[in-house]
Amino acid sequence: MLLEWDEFAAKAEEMARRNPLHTRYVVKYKHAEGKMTLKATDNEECFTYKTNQASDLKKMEKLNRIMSAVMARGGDVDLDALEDQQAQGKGKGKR
Amino acid sequence: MAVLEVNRFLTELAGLYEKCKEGKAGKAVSLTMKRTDLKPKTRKQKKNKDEEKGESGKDSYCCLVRAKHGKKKISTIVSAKDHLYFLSACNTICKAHMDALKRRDRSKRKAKK
Repeated sequence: MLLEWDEFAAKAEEMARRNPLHTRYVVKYKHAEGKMTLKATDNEECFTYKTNQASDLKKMEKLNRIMSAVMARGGDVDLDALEDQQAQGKGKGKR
Repeated sequence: MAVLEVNRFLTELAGLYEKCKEGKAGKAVSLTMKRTDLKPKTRKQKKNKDEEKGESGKDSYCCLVRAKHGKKKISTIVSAKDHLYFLSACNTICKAHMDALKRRDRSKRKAKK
């Protein structure tokens, strides 16, 4: 199911939280065509988002953050707390 | 498919994106994340070293990350502990290498199909 960004991000996150063990999230990048595809599926539903816009990288980054947090720490992860931790960590490094 | 350590994986991942840029058309890099109950490879060694700091029970699930370019496949397992580090590194790599995407000014709404 091809979606617009907002819907995609919301549904992907919801799916990951609901069914973390069966959800997988794929970022596919084709340099030759300059296209990026994001996909989230739990083997029952499948959401995709396609883009060729560089501005979508930021959004992707944000979703990466959410998805990997859910997958590494479980569906009930508190994202705000994580962000704080990350902000503290960032103080030392560059970026 | 080799299961690599996190740092090694990140290096290889950058290599894959690099190759994707050089290579001929048609090959994509895909990066997959999935929750898994596999343990990180180093867990046992680490346990011996710092005598488990009470965390082992909590994160019996980890994030399995796979990357593929053509026939080359690599994977790693990211535990909750490593996750923030991995994430920021991974995001940096992705952003740095996805430079074939269009900038905003050109053909703004072509992505819709």
